[in-house]
Amino acid sequence: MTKRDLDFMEHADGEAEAELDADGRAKVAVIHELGELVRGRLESAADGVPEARLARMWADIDKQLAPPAPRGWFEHYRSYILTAAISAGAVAALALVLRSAPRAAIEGAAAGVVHRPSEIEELDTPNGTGTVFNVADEDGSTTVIWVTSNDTVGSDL
Amino acid sequence: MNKAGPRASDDGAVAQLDRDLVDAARRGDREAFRTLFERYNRRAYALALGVLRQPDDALDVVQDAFIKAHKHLDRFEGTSSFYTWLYRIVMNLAIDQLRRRKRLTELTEEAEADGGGLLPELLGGNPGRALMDKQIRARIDDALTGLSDNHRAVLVMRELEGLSYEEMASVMGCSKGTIMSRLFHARKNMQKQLADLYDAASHQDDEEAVS
Repeated sequence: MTKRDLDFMEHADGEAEAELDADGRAKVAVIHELGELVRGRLESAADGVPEARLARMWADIDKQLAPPAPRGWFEHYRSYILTAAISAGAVAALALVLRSAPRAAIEGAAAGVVHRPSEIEELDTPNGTGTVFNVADEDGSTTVIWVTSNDTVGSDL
Repeated sequence: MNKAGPRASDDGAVAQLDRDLVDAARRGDREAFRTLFERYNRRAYALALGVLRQPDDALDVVQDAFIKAHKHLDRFEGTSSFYTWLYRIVMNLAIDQLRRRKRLTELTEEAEADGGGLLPELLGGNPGRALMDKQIRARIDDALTGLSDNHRAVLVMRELEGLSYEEMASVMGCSKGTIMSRLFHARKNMQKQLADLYDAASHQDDEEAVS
């Protein structure tokens, strides 16, 4: 491989300009001729492929480009089913929220009665005595009012 | 190639028509894609055959290339012609095929650098006439098959598609210098393998000149 031959080749391929003497012109011509032989041979080979073979190739390609097989009933109605399911879920969640809110309020009020410490404003025990005290239990404490009648005090039993 | 579609260098009208067909194919128009197939199948086959030298392998590559092209139509940006985009797919698949065959052997520069320069001889100056000869066609086939895969791939890209050295370097994933070296030796080896045809043509020319 000589530098001059590479220059001739680049010239023949349109990659660079080279000064051509008689030898260079002959070599450029031979490159072009060889190119025509290769191109002509491959193109004639391609022209020789029967149309039927290419039609078969297209049929194979077409099969692979085909859309998916027809869908079943679920796939067909899937969007409707999903929409219905989501809507039903939303309605159920809303109903649950609306129902649970008053119950919580009631339970909260009941808890207040049970756990609020008792306040004895007035204890009227006619003919007797009364005692107020708290007893601890699992709810915290329970207020107990113990009343004793006077007739039991000092009675002669 | 009489039955083949337009070459990559054709004017913008062809490129625009191809883009319209690609757009239609993207929208699911299979007839549009079929038109592209019919327009370029033989040309893609010539390229694949040139690289692979096995007709059945070449047909498989063309089929796979069109399927792949259809699958990735959204990646076709339209900055080049459809065929320019397609031939890259064909070349990549053909090179993959060669690798699978484990025949893609890198020749050393020493092995490539044997035996002088190009021969300044012509095959009668009429390649078209030469190609009419069945025997000469067979000899060209043998000469192409006798090249290394790398040499043949570069020669085919250059002579069939007119790719520049830079474009070939990009496709082959090597330097421009390597492309030049491969192309030079591909041509030289082709000349060497067809040398007796050159001699015969020269002899025939001499006889015609005398008579």
